[in-house]
Amino acid sequence: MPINYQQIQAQADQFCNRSMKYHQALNNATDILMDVLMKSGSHLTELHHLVDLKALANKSLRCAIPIQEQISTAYTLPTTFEPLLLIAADGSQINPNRHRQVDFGLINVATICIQPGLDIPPDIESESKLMDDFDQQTDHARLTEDLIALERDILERAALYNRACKYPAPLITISDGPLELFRETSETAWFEKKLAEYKQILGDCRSATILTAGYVDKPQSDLVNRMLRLALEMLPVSNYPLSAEIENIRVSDACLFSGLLTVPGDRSAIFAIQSPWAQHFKDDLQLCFFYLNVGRPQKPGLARVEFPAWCARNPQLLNNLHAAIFRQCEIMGTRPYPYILHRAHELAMVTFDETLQLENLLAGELQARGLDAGVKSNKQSAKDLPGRGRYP
Amino acid sequence: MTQIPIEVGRLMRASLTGFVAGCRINQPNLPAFGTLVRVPINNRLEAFGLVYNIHVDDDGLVRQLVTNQTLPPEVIADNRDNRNMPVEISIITIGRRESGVFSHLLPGIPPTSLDIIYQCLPLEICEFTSAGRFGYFRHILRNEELPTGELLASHLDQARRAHGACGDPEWYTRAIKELIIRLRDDYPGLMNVMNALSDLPTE
Repeated sequence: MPINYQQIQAQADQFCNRSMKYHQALNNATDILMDVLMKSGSHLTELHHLVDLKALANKSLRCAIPIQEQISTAYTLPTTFEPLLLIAADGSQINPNRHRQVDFGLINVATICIQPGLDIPPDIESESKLMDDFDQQTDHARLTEDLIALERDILERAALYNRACKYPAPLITISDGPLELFRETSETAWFEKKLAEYKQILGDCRSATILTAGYVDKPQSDLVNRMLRLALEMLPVSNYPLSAEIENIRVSDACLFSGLLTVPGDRSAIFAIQSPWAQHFKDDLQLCFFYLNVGRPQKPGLARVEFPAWCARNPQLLNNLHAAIFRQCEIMGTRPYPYILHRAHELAMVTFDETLQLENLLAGELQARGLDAGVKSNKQSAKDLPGRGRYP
Repeated sequence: MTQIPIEVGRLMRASLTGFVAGCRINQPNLPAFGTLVRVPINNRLEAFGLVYNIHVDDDGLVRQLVTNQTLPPEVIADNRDNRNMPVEISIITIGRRESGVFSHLLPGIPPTSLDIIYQCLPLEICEFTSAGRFGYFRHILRNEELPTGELLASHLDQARRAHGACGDPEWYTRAIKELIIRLRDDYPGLMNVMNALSDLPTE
Protein backbone atom coordinates (compact mmCIF):
# COMPACT_ATOMS: atom_id res chain seq x y z
CA MET A 1 0.00 0.00 0.00
CA PRO A 2 1.25 3.49 -0.69
CA ILE A 3 1.66 6.11 2.03
CA ASN A 4 -1.64 7.50 3.33
CA TYR A 5 -1.06 11.07 2.19
CA GLN A 6 -4.35 12.28 3.61
CA GLN A 7 -3.20 11.42 7.12
CA ILE A 8 0.29 12.76 6.47
CA GLN A 9 -1.07 16.10 5.26
CA ALA A 10 -2.77 16.70 8.60
CA GLN A 11 0.36 15.66 10.49
CA ALA A 12 2.57 17.88 8.31
CA ASP A 13 0.81 20.94 9.72
CA GLN A 14 1.59 19.86 13.26
CA PHE A 15 5.13 19.05 12.17
CA CYS A 16 5.65 22.62 10.91
CA ASN A 17 4.13 24.21 14.02
CA ARG A 18 6.31 22.13 16.30
CA SER A 19 9.34 22.93 14.14
CA MET A 20 8.64 26.67 14.47
CA LYS A 21 8.47 26.47 18.27
CA TYR A 22 11.61 24.37 18.38
CA HIS A 23 13.56 26.85 16.26
CA GLN A 24 12.45 29.77 18.43
CA ALA A 25 13.75 27.95 21.51
CA LEU A 26 16.91 26.96 19.65
CA ASN A 27 17.61 30.56 18.66
CA ASN A 28 17.14 31.72 22.26
CA ALA A 29 19.48 29.04 23.57
CA THR A 30 22.03 29.80 20.83
CA ASP A 31 22.02 33.51 21.71
CA ILE A 32 22.73 32.77 25.36
CA LEU A 33 25.45 30.23 24.60
CA MET A 34 27.00 32.60 22.06
CA ASP A 35 27.17 35.20 24.78
CA VAL A 36 28.91 32.68 27.02
CA LEU A 37 31.31 31.80 24.21
CA MET A 38 32.29 35.44 23.70
CA LYS A 39 32.71 36.12 27.43
CA SER A 40 34.61 32.97 28.22
CA GLY A 41 37.07 33.48 25.36
CA SER A 42 39.77 34.51 27.78
CA HIS A 43 38.95 31.98 30.52
CA LEU A 44 40.84 29.09 28.94
CA THR A 45 42.56 27.93 32.11
CA GLU A 46 39.36 28.05 34.15
CA LEU A 47 37.47 26.15 31.46
CA HIS A 48 40.20 23.55 31.28
CA HIS A 49 40.15 23.03 35.04
CA LEU A 50 36.41 22.96 35.07
CA VAL A 51 36.27 20.15 32.51
CA ASP A 52 39.00 18.21 34.38
CA LEU A 53 37.06 18.56 37.59
CA LYS A 54 33.80 17.44 36.03
CA ALA A 55 35.48 14.54 34.28
CA LEU A 56 36.69 13.22 37.63
CA ALA A 57 33.15 13.17 38.93
CA ASN A 58 31.49 12.05 35.72
CA LYS A 59 33.39 9.33 33.88
CA SER A 60 31.07 9.47 30.90
CA LEU A 61 31.49 13.24 30.43
CA ARG A 62 31.62 14.17 26.78
CA CYS A 63 32.54 17.74 25.84
CA ALA A 64 35.20 19.95 24.29
CA ILE A 65 38.35 21.16 26.03
CA PRO A 66 39.93 24.43 24.93
CA ILE A 67 43.61 24.13 24.08
CA GLN A 68 45.74 27.18 23.45
CA GLU A 69 43.63 29.48 21.30
CA GLN A 70 41.01 32.09 22.25
CA ILE A 71 37.73 30.25 21.74
CA SER A 72 35.77 33.37 20.79
CA THR A 73 37.98 34.15 17.80
CA ALA A 74 37.54 33.22 14.13
CA TYR A 75 40.86 32.23 12.55
CA THR A 76 40.99 33.30 8.92
CA LEU A 77 42.22 31.23 6.00
CA PRO A 78 46.03 31.34 5.98
CA THR A 79 47.40 33.55 3.25
CA THR A 80 50.55 31.48 2.91
CA PHE A 81 50.55 27.73 2.91
CA GLU A 82 52.37 24.87 1.29
CA PRO A 83 50.23 22.73 -1.06
CA LEU A 84 51.05 19.39 0.53
CA LEU A 85 50.41 16.05 -1.12
CA LEU A 86 46.95 14.77 -0.19
CA ILE A 87 45.89 11.16 0.21
CA ALA A 88 42.31 10.17 0.95
CA ALA A 89 40.80 6.79 1.69
CA ASP A 90 37.26 5.57 1.87
CA GLY A 91 35.80 2.19 2.57
CA SER A 92 32.65 0.46 1.49
CA GLN A 93 31.37 -2.83 2.76
CA ILE A 94 28.98 -5.68 2.14
CA ASN A 95 27.45 -6.63 5.45
CA PRO A 96 26.70 -10.27 6.25
CA ASN A 97 23.11 -11.24 5.64
CA ARG A 98 21.77 -14.65 6.57
CA HIS A 99 18.97 -14.30 4.01
CA ARG A 100 21.44 -14.49 1.13
CA GLN A 101 22.39 -17.73 -0.57
CA VAL A 102 26.00 -17.37 0.55
CA ASP A 103 26.67 -15.43 3.72
CA PHE A 104 29.82 -13.35 3.50
CA GLY A 105 31.20 -9.90 4.16
CA LEU A 106 33.44 -7.67 2.12
CA ILE A 107 35.43 -4.52 2.72
CA ASN A 108 36.58 -2.46 -0.21
CA VAL A 109 39.02 0.35 0.52
CA ALA A 110 40.07 2.85 -2.15
CA THR A 111 42.83 5.40 -1.86
CA ILE A 112 43.51 8.40 -4.06
CA CYS A 113 46.62 10.53 -4.02
CA ILE A 114 46.57 14.09 -5.36
CA GLN A 115 49.45 16.50 -5.78
CA PRO A 116 47.71 19.91 -5.77
CA GLY A 117 48.64 22.32 -8.52
CA LEU A 118 50.21 19.78 -10.86
CA ASP A 119 48.68 18.65 -14.14
CA ILE A 120 49.11 15.02 -13.15
CA PRO A 121 46.18 12.61 -12.83
CA PRO A 122 45.77 11.36 -9.27
CA ASP A 123 47.10 7.94 -8.41
CA ILE A 124 44.32 5.54 -7.41
CA GLU A 125 44.33 2.10 -5.80
CA SER A 126 41.80 -0.20 -4.22
CA GLU A 127 41.99 -3.23 -1.98
CA SER A 128 39.22 -5.72 -1.31
CA LYS A 129 39.00 -8.10 1.65
CA LEU A 130 36.54 -10.98 1.66
CA MET A 131 35.32 -11.90 5.14
CA ASP A 132 33.58 -14.99 6.45
CA ASP A 133 32.28 -16.42 9.69
CA PHE A 134 33.83 -19.88 9.38
CA ASP A 135 36.36 -19.45 12.20
CA GLN A 136 34.50 -20.75 15.24
CA GLN A 137 37.31 -20.36 17.79
CA THR A 138 36.09 -18.77 21.00
CA ASP A 139 38.46 -15.79 20.88
CA HIS A 140 37.35 -14.81 17.42
CA ALA A 141 34.57 -12.24 17.07
CA ARG A 142 31.47 -13.11 15.07
CA LEU A 143 31.06 -11.45 11.71
CA THR A 144 28.62 -8.63 12.39
CA GLU A 145 27.93 -5.22 10.90
CA ASP A 146 29.76 -3.57 13.80
CA LEU A 147 32.79 -5.76 13.34
CA ILE A 148 32.94 -5.00 9.63
CA ALA A 149 32.54 -1.26 10.26
CA LEU A 150 35.37 -1.28 12.77
CA GLU A 151 37.59 -3.39 10.54
CA ARG A 152 36.83 -1.00 7.65
CA ASP A 153 37.92 2.02 9.71
CA ILE A 154 41.19 0.33 10.57
CA LEU A 155 41.81 -0.80 6.99
CA GLU A 156 41.16 2.76 5.77
CA ARG A 157 43.71 4.15 8.19
CA ALA A 158 46.23 1.40 7.35
CA ALA A 159 45.77 1.98 3.62
CA LEU A 160 46.41 5.70 4.14
CA TYR A 161 49.56 5.00 6.12
CA ASN A 162 50.86 2.47 3.60
CA ARG A 163 50.28 4.85 0.69
CA ALA A 164 51.74 7.81 2.58
CA CYS A 165 54.96 5.94 3.34
CA LYS A 166 55.75 5.92 -0.38
CA TYR A 167 55.96 9.73 -0.50
CA PRO A 168 58.19 12.24 1.25
CA ALA A 169 56.69 13.81 4.40
CA PRO A 170 55.04 16.03 5.40
CA LEU A 171 51.78 15.16 3.74
CA ILE A 172 48.10 15.05 4.63
CA THR A 173 45.98 11.92 4.83
CA ILE A 174 42.25 12.28 5.23
CA SER A 175 39.21 10.10 5.63
CA ASP A 176 35.52 10.77 6.00
CA GLY A 177 34.20 10.78 9.55
CA PRO A 178 35.73 11.29 12.97
CA LEU A 179 39.10 9.97 14.05
CA GLU A 180 37.62 8.75 17.28
CA LEU A 181 37.00 5.03 17.18
CA PHE A 182 33.90 3.86 18.95
CA ARG A 183 31.70 0.89 18.27
CA GLU A 184 29.11 -1.01 20.19
CA THR A 185 30.72 -4.41 20.19
CA SER A 186 30.30 -7.06 22.79
CA GLU A 187 33.69 -8.53 21.94
CA THR A 188 35.73 -6.40 24.34
CA ALA A 189 39.01 -8.28 24.07
CA TRP A 190 38.79 -8.23 20.33
CA PHE A 191 37.93 -4.53 20.35
CA GLU A 192 40.90 -3.77 22.61
CA LYS A 193 43.15 -5.55 20.15
CA LYS A 194 41.77 -3.57 17.24
CA LEU A 195 42.02 -0.32 19.18
CA ALA A 196 45.70 -1.02 19.88
CA GLU A 197 46.19 -1.69 16.17
CA TYR A 198 44.50 1.61 15.32
CA LYS A 199 46.58 3.54 17.85
CA GLN A 200 49.71 1.94 16.49
CA ILE A 201 48.90 3.25 13.00
CA LEU A 202 48.23 6.75 14.36
CA GLY A 203 51.52 6.56 16.26
CA ASP A 204 53.39 5.44 13.15
CA CYS A 205 51.87 8.37 11.25
CA ARG A 206 53.03 10.72 13.96
CA SER A 207 56.60 9.33 13.79
CA ALA A 208 56.65 9.77 10.01
CA THR A 209 55.10 13.31 10.12
CA ILE A 210 52.07 12.07 8.21
CA LEU A 211 49.18 14.33 9.19
CA THR A 212 46.05 12.29 9.85
CA ALA A 213 42.70 14.05 9.59
CA GLY A 214 39.04 13.16 9.66
CA TYR A 215 36.41 15.29 7.96
CA VAL A 216 32.87 15.43 9.35
CA ASP A 217 30.31 16.95 7.01
CA LYS A 218 27.14 18.53 8.44
CA PRO A 219 28.33 17.91 12.01
CA GLN A 220 25.66 17.44 14.63
CA SER A 221 27.89 17.11 17.68
CA ASP A 222 27.53 19.52 20.60
CA LEU A 223 30.89 19.16 22.32
CA VAL A 224 31.53 22.92 22.61
CA ASN A 225 27.93 23.53 23.59
CA ARG A 226 28.33 21.08 26.48
CA MET A 227 31.50 22.80 27.60
CA LEU A 228 29.76 26.21 27.52
CA ARG A 229 26.88 24.86 29.59
CA LEU A 230 29.45 23.85 32.23
CA ALA A 231 30.84 27.38 32.08
CA LEU A 232 27.38 28.85 32.38
CA GLU A 233 26.73 26.71 35.40
CA MET A 234 30.00 27.24 37.23
CA LEU A 235 31.80 30.35 35.93
CA PRO A 236 30.77 34.01 36.17
CA VAL A 237 30.44 34.41 32.42
CA SER A 238 26.78 35.22 31.90
CA ASN A 239 23.98 36.93 33.71
CA TYR A 240 21.37 35.08 31.70
CA PRO A 241 20.89 31.51 32.86
CA LEU A 242 19.10 29.15 30.52
CA SER A 243 15.41 29.19 31.26
CA ALA A 244 13.64 25.95 31.95
CA GLU A 245 12.03 25.83 28.52
CA ILE A 246 15.35 25.98 26.67
CA GLU A 247 17.54 24.19 29.18
CA ASN A 248 17.22 20.88 27.41
CA ILE A 249 17.52 22.24 23.88
CA ARG A 250 20.46 20.65 22.18
CA VAL A 251 22.43 23.34 20.34
CA SER A 252 24.81 21.82 17.84
CA ASP A 253 28.27 23.34 17.62
CA ALA A 254 27.70 24.03 13.93
CA CYS A 255 24.69 26.16 14.85
CA LEU A 256 26.73 28.00 17.45
CA PHE A 257 29.76 28.65 15.24
CA SER A 258 27.80 29.65 12.16
CA GLY A 259 27.37 33.03 13.89
CA LEU A 260 31.10 33.36 14.52
CA LEU A 261 32.71 31.85 11.43
CA THR A 262 31.03 34.17 8.95
CA VAL A 263 33.72 34.43 6.27
CA PRO A 264 34.37 31.40 4.03
CA GLY A 265 37.62 29.80 5.15
CA ASP A 266 37.27 30.88 8.79
CA ARG A 267 38.03 28.23 11.36
CA SER A 268 37.27 28.05 15.05
CA ALA A 269 39.79 27.67 17.82
CA ILE A 270 41.21 24.21 18.32
CA PHE A 271 39.55 22.03 20.94
CA ALA A 272 40.38 18.63 22.33
CA ILE A 273 37.75 15.95 22.90
CA GLN A 274 36.85 14.86 26.41
CA SER A 275 35.06 11.52 26.23
CA PRO A 276 35.44 8.00 27.61
CA TRP A 277 36.66 6.70 24.25
CA ALA A 278 38.91 9.70 23.64
CA GLN A 279 40.79 8.74 26.84
CA HIS A 280 42.43 5.98 24.80
CA PHE A 281 44.21 8.66 22.75
CA LYS A 282 46.71 10.48 24.94
CA ASP A 283 49.54 13.00 24.60
CA ASP A 284 50.53 13.39 20.94
CA LEU A 285 47.56 11.35 19.82
CA GLN A 286 44.97 13.28 21.86
CA LEU A 287 42.06 13.95 19.51
CA CYS A 288 41.53 17.59 18.54
CA PHE A 289 39.22 19.40 16.17
CA PHE A 290 38.19 22.71 14.76
CA TYR A 291 35.11 23.85 12.88
CA LEU A 292 35.64 25.26 9.41
CA ASN A 293 33.35 27.39 7.29
CA VAL A 294 33.64 25.69 3.89
CA GLY A 295 30.67 27.60 2.45
CA ARG A 296 30.36 30.67 0.28
CA PRO A 297 29.64 34.31 1.18
CA GLN A 298 26.13 34.48 2.70
CA LYS A 299 25.95 30.67 2.57
CA PRO A 300 28.00 29.35 5.50
CA GLY A 301 28.58 25.63 5.64
CA LEU A 302 30.23 24.21 8.74
CA ALA A 303 32.37 21.09 8.82
CA ARG A 304 34.39 19.59 11.66
CA VAL A 305 37.99 18.59 11.07
CA GLU A 306 39.63 16.18 13.50
CA PHE A 307 43.36 15.57 13.90
CA PRO A 308 45.82 14.44 16.60
CA ALA A 309 47.32 16.91 19.07
CA TRP A 310 50.82 16.77 17.57
CA CYS A 311 49.43 18.46 14.42
CA ALA A 312 47.79 21.14 16.54
CA ARG A 313 51.20 22.01 17.99
CA ASN A 314 52.73 22.59 14.56
CA PRO A 315 51.31 25.93 13.27
CA GLN A 316 52.67 25.51 9.74
CA LEU A 317 51.21 22.02 9.38
CA LEU A 318 47.92 23.20 10.84
CA ASN A 319 47.77 26.08 8.34
CA ASN A 320 48.47 23.64 5.53
CA LEU A 321 45.64 21.39 6.71
CA HIS A 322 43.26 24.34 7.11
CA ALA A 323 44.00 25.64 3.61
CA ALA A 324 44.07 22.23 1.95
CA ILE A 325 40.65 21.22 3.22
CA PHE A 326 39.09 24.54 2.29
CA ARG A 327 40.61 24.40 -1.22
CA GLN A 328 39.35 20.84 -1.67
CA CYS A 329 35.84 21.93 -0.70
CA GLU A 330 36.00 24.90 -3.03
CA ILE A 331 36.50 22.58 -5.99
CA MET A 332 33.01 21.16 -5.52
CA GLY A 333 31.43 24.57 -6.05
CA THR A 334 27.99 25.12 -4.62
CA ARG A 335 27.95 21.93 -2.53
CA PRO A 336 31.30 22.13 -0.74
CA TYR A 337 32.83 18.83 0.32
CA PRO A 338 36.46 17.75 -0.17
CA TYR A 339 36.80 16.64 -3.80
CA ILE A 340 39.39 14.05 -2.85
CA LEU A 341 37.00 12.43 -0.36
CA HIS A 342 34.20 12.30 -2.90
CA ARG A 343 36.53 10.62 -5.37
CA ALA A 344 37.68 8.11 -2.76
CA HIS A 345 34.04 7.32 -2.04
CA GLU A 346 33.27 6.97 -5.74
CA LEU A 347 36.17 4.55 -6.14
CA ALA A 348 35.36 2.48 -3.08
CA MET A 349 31.62 2.16 -3.41
CA VAL A 350 30.32 -1.41 -3.81
CA THR A 351 27.06 -1.39 -5.73
CA PHE A 352 24.10 -3.71 -5.26
CA ASP A 353 24.81 -5.31 -8.66
CA GLU A 354 28.40 -6.03 -7.63
CA THR A 355 27.14 -7.64 -4.43
CA LEU A 356 24.94 -9.97 -6.48
CA GLN A 357 27.80 -10.76 -8.85
CA LEU A 358 30.09 -11.56 -5.94
CA GLU A 359 27.47 -13.80 -4.35
CA ASN A 360 27.02 -15.66 -7.64
CA LEU A 361 30.77 -16.02 -7.99
CA LEU A 362 31.12 -17.51 -4.50
CA ALA A 363 28.14 -19.84 -5.03
CA GLY A 364 29.66 -21.00 -8.32
CA GLU A 365 33.05 -21.62 -6.73
CA LEU A 366 31.48 -23.63 -3.90
CA GLN A 367 29.44 -25.73 -6.32
CA ALA A 368 32.46 -26.33 -8.54
CA ARG A 369 34.18 -27.87 -5.51
CA GLY A 370 31.17 -30.04 -4.76
CA LEU A 371 30.23 -28.03 -1.67
CA ASP A 372 26.82 -26.90 -0.58
CA ALA A 373 26.33 -23.34 -1.78
CA GLY A 374 23.27 -22.86 0.42
CA VAL A 375 19.94 -21.38 -0.51
CA LYS A 376 18.36 -18.00 -0.24
CA SER A 377 15.88 -17.61 2.63
CA ASN A 378 12.21 -18.04 1.79
CA LYS A 379 11.61 -14.48 2.95
CA GLN A 380 14.24 -13.14 0.55
CA SER A 381 12.88 -15.29 -2.28
CA ALA A 382 9.43 -13.81 -1.71
CA LYS A 383 10.86 -10.28 -1.70
CA ASP A 384 12.70 -10.97 -4.95
CA LEU A 385 9.53 -12.00 -6.77
CA PRO A 386 8.68 -9.65 -9.63
CA GLY A 387 6.22 -7.15 -8.17
CA ARG A 388 2.81 -6.36 -9.54
CA GLY A 389 3.68 -2.71 -9.26
CA ARG A 390 2.01 -0.08 -7.17
CA TYR A 391 0.23 1.51 -10.13
CA PRO A 392 -0.72 -1.38 -12.44
CA MET B 1 56.88 2.97 -46.52
CA THR B 2 54.20 0.87 -44.77
CA GLN B 3 51.89 2.92 -42.56
CA ILE B 4 50.86 1.61 -39.17
CA PRO B 5 47.08 1.35 -38.62
CA ILE B 6 45.84 3.92 -36.10
CA GLU B 7 43.53 2.56 -33.39
CA VAL B 8 40.79 5.01 -32.54
CA GLY B 9 38.91 3.05 -29.89
CA ARG B 10 36.92 -0.05 -29.13
CA LEU B 11 33.40 -0.91 -30.08
CA MET B 12 30.72 -0.31 -27.46
CA ARG B 13 27.54 -1.24 -29.33
CA ALA B 14 26.60 -1.97 -32.91
CA SER B 15 23.85 -2.73 -35.38
CA LEU B 16 23.98 -3.54 -39.07
CA THR B 17 23.71 0.12 -40.03
CA GLY B 18 26.06 1.70 -37.52
CA PHE B 19 28.16 1.34 -34.43
CA VAL B 20 29.47 3.32 -31.49
CA ALA B 21 33.10 3.35 -30.45
CA GLY B 22 34.41 4.43 -27.07
CA CYS B 23 37.75 6.09 -26.52
CA ARG B 24 39.53 8.24 -24.00
CA ILE B 25 38.96 11.95 -24.17
CA ASN B 26 42.64 12.81 -24.10
CA GLN B 27 43.96 10.25 -26.56
CA PRO B 28 46.00 11.89 -29.31
CA ASN B 29 44.36 10.11 -32.27
CA LEU B 30 40.73 11.02 -31.61
CA PRO B 31 39.09 10.71 -35.09
CA ALA B 32 37.56 13.86 -36.52
CA PHE B 33 34.03 14.26 -37.83
CA GLY B 34 33.77 12.66 -41.30
CA THR B 35 36.73 10.32 -40.81
CA LEU B 36 36.52 6.97 -42.61
CA VAL B 37 37.11 4.12 -40.16
CA ARG B 38 37.09 0.34 -40.37
CA VAL B 39 36.47 -2.46 -37.91
CA PRO B 40 37.45 -6.06 -38.56
CA ILE B 41 34.47 -8.38 -37.97
CA ASN B 42 36.29 -11.62 -38.69
CA ASN B 43 39.31 -12.79 -40.67
CA ARG B 44 37.64 -12.07 -44.02
CA LEU B 45 35.17 -9.30 -43.34
CA GLU B 46 35.56 -5.65 -42.29
CA ALA B 47 32.91 -2.95 -41.87
CA PHE B 48 33.64 0.59 -43.08
CA GLY B 49 31.94 3.66 -41.67
CA LEU B 50 32.00 7.42 -41.32
CA VAL B 51 32.24 9.26 -38.00
CA TYR B 52 29.10 11.40 -37.81
CA ASN B 53 28.94 12.33 -34.14
CA ILE B 54 31.31 12.63 -31.20
CA HIS B 55 29.58 12.65 -27.87
CA VAL B 56 31.12 13.60 -24.51
CA ASP B 57 28.79 12.51 -21.72
CA ASP B 58 28.49 14.10 -18.32
CA ASP B 59 27.55 12.91 -14.87
CA GLY B 60 26.53 14.48 -11.59
CA LEU B 61 30.08 15.29 -10.52
CA VAL B 62 31.03 16.88 -13.84
CA ARG B 63 27.82 18.94 -13.78
CA GLN B 64 28.76 20.19 -10.32
CA LEU B 65 32.38 20.89 -11.22
CA VAL B 66 31.59 22.98 -14.31
CA THR B 67 29.99 25.61 -12.10
CA ASN B 68 33.42 26.24 -10.59
CA GLN B 69 35.24 28.99 -12.46
CA THR B 70 38.76 27.89 -11.55
CA LEU B 71 39.33 24.17 -11.54
CA PRO B 72 42.78 22.99 -10.45
CA PRO B 73 44.75 21.12 -13.12
CA GLU B 74 44.86 17.93 -11.06
CA VAL B 75 41.05 17.81 -10.98
CA ILE B 76 40.81 18.17 -14.75
CA ALA B 77 43.46 15.48 -15.19
CA ASP B 78 41.59 13.21 -12.77
CA ASN B 79 38.32 13.54 -14.64
CA ARG B 80 39.95 12.98 -18.01
CA ASP B 81 42.25 10.13 -17.07
CA ASN B 82 40.78 8.28 -14.13
CA ARG B 83 37.02 8.57 -14.32
CA ASN B 84 35.22 6.10 -16.53
CA MET B 85 33.78 8.54 -19.05
CA PRO B 86 34.52 7.36 -22.59
CA VAL B 87 34.02 9.68 -25.51
CA GLU B 88 31.35 8.04 -27.67
CA ILE B 89 32.01 8.13 -31.40
CA SER B 90 28.98 7.35 -33.55
CA ILE B 91 29.71 5.80 -36.90
CA ILE B 92 27.37 5.08 -39.82
CA THR B 93 28.22 1.89 -41.69
CA ILE B 94 28.69 2.60 -45.39
CA GLY B 95 30.29 -0.52 -46.80
CA ARG B 96 32.56 -3.46 -46.30
CA ARG B 97 35.68 -5.27 -47.43
CA GLU B 98 35.23 -8.99 -47.85
CA SER B 99 38.21 -11.16 -48.76
CA GLY B 100 40.00 -8.02 -49.90
CA VAL B 101 37.17 -6.84 -52.19
CA PHE B 102 35.49 -3.52 -51.43
CA SER B 103 31.72 -3.16 -51.64
CA HIS B 104 29.25 -0.46 -50.70
CA LEU B 105 26.74 -3.01 -49.48
CA LEU B 106 26.37 -3.35 -45.74
CA PRO B 107 28.25 -6.22 -44.05
CA GLY B 108 25.87 -9.08 -43.30
CA ILE B 109 26.78 -9.14 -39.60
CA PRO B 110 27.65 -6.34 -37.22
CA PRO B 111 30.96 -6.06 -35.37
CA THR B 112 30.93 -7.13 -31.73
CA SER B 113 31.74 -5.53 -28.40
CA LEU B 114 35.31 -4.39 -27.79
CA ASP B 115 36.40 -4.92 -31.41
CA ILE B 116 39.16 -2.45 -32.27
CA ILE B 117 38.27 0.38 -34.66
CA TYR B 118 40.96 1.74 -36.94
CA GLN B 119 41.23 4.98 -38.83
CA CYS B 120 41.54 4.28 -42.57
CA LEU B 121 44.86 5.11 -44.19
CA PRO B 122 44.87 7.35 -47.32
CA LEU B 123 45.28 4.31 -49.61
CA GLU B 124 42.29 2.59 -47.97
CA ILE B 125 40.24 5.79 -48.35
CA CYS B 126 41.09 5.88 -52.07
CA GLU B 127 40.34 2.18 -52.57
CA PHE B 128 37.03 2.31 -50.68
CA THR B 129 35.69 5.53 -52.22
CA SER B 130 36.67 4.61 -55.77
CA ALA B 131 35.15 1.13 -55.62
CA GLY B 132 31.94 0.95 -57.67
CA ARG B 133 30.03 4.16 -58.37
CA PHE B 134 29.73 6.03 -55.10
CA GLY B 135 27.16 3.53 -53.83
CA TYR B 136 28.00 4.45 -50.25
CA PHE B 137 26.39 7.87 -50.74
CA ARG B 138 22.95 6.26 -50.45
CA HIS B 139 23.58 5.23 -46.84
CA ILE B 140 24.34 8.85 -45.97
CA LEU B 141 21.62 10.49 -48.04
CA ARG B 142 18.77 8.30 -46.83
CA ASN B 143 19.52 8.77 -43.13
CA GLU B 144 17.52 11.80 -42.06
CA GLU B 145 19.13 11.94 -38.63
CA LEU B 146 22.58 12.72 -40.02
CA PRO B 147 23.91 16.25 -40.55
CA THR B 148 24.15 15.24 -44.22
CA GLY B 149 25.64 18.40 -45.76
CA GLU B 150 28.30 18.82 -43.07
CA LEU B 151 29.16 15.12 -43.04
CA LEU B 152 29.56 14.94 -46.81
CA ALA B 153 31.62 18.13 -46.88
CA SER B 154 33.96 16.85 -44.20
CA HIS B 155 34.25 13.40 -45.79
CA LEU B 156 34.77 14.70 -49.32
CA ASP B 157 37.43 17.13 -48.12
CA GLN B 158 39.38 14.30 -46.47
CA ALA B 159 38.86 11.96 -49.44
CA ARG B 160 39.86 14.70 -51.92
CA ARG B 161 43.24 15.05 -50.18
CA ALA B 162 43.76 11.29 -50.12
CA HIS B 163 42.93 10.97 -53.84
CA GLY B 164 45.16 13.94 -54.63
CA ALA B 165 48.04 12.16 -52.89
CA CYS B 166 47.18 8.96 -54.79
CA GLY B 167 47.27 10.78 -58.17
CA ASP B 168 43.53 11.10 -58.88
CA PRO B 169 42.62 14.79 -58.35
CA GLU B 170 39.52 14.36 -60.58
CA TRP B 171 37.84 12.07 -58.05
CA TYR B 172 36.35 15.04 -56.20
CA THR B 173 34.65 16.40 -59.35
CA ARG B 174 33.18 12.98 -60.09
CA ALA B 175 31.90 12.72 -56.54
CA ILE B 176 30.17 16.13 -56.76
CA LYS B 177 28.53 15.17 -60.08
CA GLU B 178 27.28 11.94 -58.56
CA LEU B 179 25.78 13.83 -55.61
CA ILE B 180 23.99 16.23 -57.97
CA ILE B 181 22.52 13.27 -59.86
CA ARG B 182 21.40 11.51 -56.69
CA LEU B 183 19.82 14.68 -55.26
CA ARG B 184 18.27 15.97 -58.51
CA ASP B 185 14.75 15.35 -57.18
CA ASP B 186 15.50 16.81 -53.75
CA TYR B 187 16.27 20.49 -54.26
CA PRO B 188 16.45 21.45 -50.53
CA GLY B 189 18.71 18.46 -49.87
CA LEU B 190 20.94 19.35 -52.79
CA MET B 191 21.23 22.97 -51.68
CA ASN B 192 22.07 21.82 -48.17
CA VAL B 193 24.95 19.71 -49.49
CA MET B 194 26.12 22.32 -52.01
CA ASN B 195 26.13 25.07 -49.38
CA ALA B 196 28.27 22.95 -47.10
CA LEU B 197 30.64 22.03 -49.95
CA SER B 198 30.99 25.69 -50.91
CA ASP B 199 32.57 26.35 -47.54
CA LEU B 200 35.42 23.93 -48.28
CA PRO B 201 38.75 25.56 -49.14
CA THR B 202 39.50 25.50 -52.88
CA GLU B 203 42.49 23.45 -53.95
